[in-house]
Amino acid sequence: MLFNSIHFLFFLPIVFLFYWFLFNKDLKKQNILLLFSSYYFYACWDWRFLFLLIFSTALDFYTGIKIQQNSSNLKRKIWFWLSICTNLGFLGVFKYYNFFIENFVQLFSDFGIQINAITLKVILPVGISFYTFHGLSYIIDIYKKKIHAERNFIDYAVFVSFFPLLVAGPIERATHLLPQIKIKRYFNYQNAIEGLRQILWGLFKKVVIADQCAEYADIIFSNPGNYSGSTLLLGAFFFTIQIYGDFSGYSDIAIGTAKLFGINLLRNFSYPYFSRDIAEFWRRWHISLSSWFKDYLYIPLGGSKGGTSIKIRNTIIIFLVSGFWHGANWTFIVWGLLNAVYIMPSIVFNTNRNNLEIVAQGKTFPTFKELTAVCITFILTMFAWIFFRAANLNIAFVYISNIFNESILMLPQIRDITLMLIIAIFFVIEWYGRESSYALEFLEKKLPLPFRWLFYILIIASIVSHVGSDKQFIYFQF
Amino acid sequence: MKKFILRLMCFVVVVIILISIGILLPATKRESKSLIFSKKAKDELLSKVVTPRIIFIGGSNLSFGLNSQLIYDSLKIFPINTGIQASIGVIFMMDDVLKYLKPGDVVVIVPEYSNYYGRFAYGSEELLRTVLDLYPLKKVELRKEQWVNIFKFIPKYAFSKFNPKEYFWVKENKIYGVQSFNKYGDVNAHWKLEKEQFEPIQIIKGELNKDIFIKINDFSSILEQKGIRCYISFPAFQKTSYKNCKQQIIEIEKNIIKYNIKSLGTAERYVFDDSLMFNKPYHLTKKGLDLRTQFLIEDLKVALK
Repeated sequence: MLFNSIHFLFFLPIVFLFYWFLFNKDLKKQNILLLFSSYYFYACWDWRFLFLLIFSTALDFYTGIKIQQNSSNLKRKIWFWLSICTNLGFLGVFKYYNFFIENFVQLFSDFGIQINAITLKVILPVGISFYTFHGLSYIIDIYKKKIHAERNFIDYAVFVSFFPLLVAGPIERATHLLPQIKIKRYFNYQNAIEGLRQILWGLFKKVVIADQCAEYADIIFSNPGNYSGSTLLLGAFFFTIQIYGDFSGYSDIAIGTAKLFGINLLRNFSYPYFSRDIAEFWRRWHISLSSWFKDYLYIPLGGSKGGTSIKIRNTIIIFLVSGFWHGANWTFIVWGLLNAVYIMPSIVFNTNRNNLEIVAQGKTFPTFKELTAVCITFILTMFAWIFFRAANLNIAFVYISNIFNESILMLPQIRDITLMLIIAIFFVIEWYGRESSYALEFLEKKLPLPFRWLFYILIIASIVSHVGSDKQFIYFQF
Repeated sequence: MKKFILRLMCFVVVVIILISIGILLPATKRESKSLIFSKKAKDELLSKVVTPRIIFIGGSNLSFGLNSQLIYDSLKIFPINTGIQASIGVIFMMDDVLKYLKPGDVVVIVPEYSNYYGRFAYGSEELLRTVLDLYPLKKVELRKEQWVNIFKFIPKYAFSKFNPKEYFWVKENKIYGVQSFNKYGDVNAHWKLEKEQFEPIQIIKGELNKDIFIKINDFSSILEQKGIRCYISFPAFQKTSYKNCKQQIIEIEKNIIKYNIKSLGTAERYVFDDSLMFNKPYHLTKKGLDLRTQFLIEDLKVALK
């Protein structure tokens, strides 16, 4: 079930009404409702993978208890590694098996040795990377004695499967979400209004911005040899906007939906395209994943402690793994490494925490220096997205080499003034709201009710005017 | 909670009122110059031209793929090309034409291949626009499946009535306009134009929908009872797209035979070289459509013997 589908338009109010009117007095029933709604939501994609989700949930629930119960370090380790290996095993089989086999075969064939290896014809279960990471963080936290194992299976299963975040995050932590699931939730008018507004903005980002940019990005990336340098540059720009609109739009809808149920999810985006350097970009892009890697990989590896060489090594590992997490393709690995290269100067010169505050905070316009820094960061990011979007490395290199020729000075072959105007308006709104948790948050304070409603109606009109494309969210494939 | 629900209800009511107004407003200037409005002229042909006639039912593979004059010259039967757009759905096309048919007519149904897959045959946004713009305030009977398909487009349709671009700076599209047709219902506005660049179809979306074959078979049986001959034929299709979708098209052919639907020619006969396609995998250039019409004439001659 897609957030931008008619199905969801009926599903959400039904669950909401049952949740607050029928089961309002009983937390247990509310959680059972959330769990079954989440499983239904997931089964709408492919009911067969529901068993995998339930198995993974049950395993982590059980091993979590076992890790906590055992005082012997060896037993704790055994249970811990059982869970870790099983979780990563599922991920390995479904997501990475074919990649490794194909590269293995290729490597041997390069040395003249032919191997007949079996590849699997499996489809990737939606959201497996996300719910696996939920489970992993839970088990690691128990093992490190940061949290206690959950004893109520329903509560734990809701933590893993809560439908707004199930298929594409934000990647939650047990320390943040589980306590919210365990305490009685009260309806909060302001929170619910915020939730609806954030859903609306998320839908706008997805349907109006991302899907429209995708129309052009898909065409240009499918055949880069047919287009001029300027058109290819425009294609990269469209994809840069698309991926932001798509993923941050999804996160807004997820966070907004959770607010309707009295649950606050982790923030996932914080206006990343207004970043002044790559380090800031990565503090603002897919925050829940970046912080996951920081806490469960970067810090255990030694983090920033130790010499510069250790920091460099750890940074490269983080970006390599992050790239690989996105998909079993060399394009993602190169994308990760390229970002590592981008961030390296700030690691070496210790300037990676230079821009911690919001750009031009309290001001209407940025300074020239800030604007230049934002533009350079944007261009660097845009360049890296080419690898992310290209079907393979060959295409990515052809794409980039075709940008840099004399045709870059020609007028682009695709000219859509309306879309460019919409993107410009979108960025103005985002800039205006950049000090809030999402761009439309400022409306409540700035506009009286009739104007607010008019604004919402305009957004709704622009969303429904693009009904029919029903495009999936990009991050579902990860 | 009460305040939230009340406020939400108020907002929803405002939106519903706007949508209702949008639905009731007449077709916009842009819409009334669009291809869909050619249906009025085609309906007039159907009601005025005397039997015997050859009536072609389908989407833009027909409007952009026939030279009806050649058919008339060869068979001396007046052809009526009802093709407009595939996304109106072949179910509506058949249901709608039924009231105009008379004994002695010959009906040739030529659905685009997407009509046999998924829910495409029940229509899409264009069906909604056909129903609401062409027959405002008139009850048009649609099937349940069709309403399910077009329901989601209602807000889009209604809000489009408030879009200034629908009323100002409107120019009629030279190819997809209401005036793009000849007296038989063929689009001839592109006959002198050069072919354009376009992407081939990679796959036909959805699962094979066997219900469509049943409905075409039922339609055919009704016509046979009325003394009207009914055939199914295959759309003109770009060679590259055909290669991509060959297995899916073979499945269609198998089911046409399975459901005893009389057909004209084969799918492969109506596959045309990419150089003969105009701007879409179903749209032919003048040279291509003349060739396609010749094939159709040959097939019709055999069938009508």
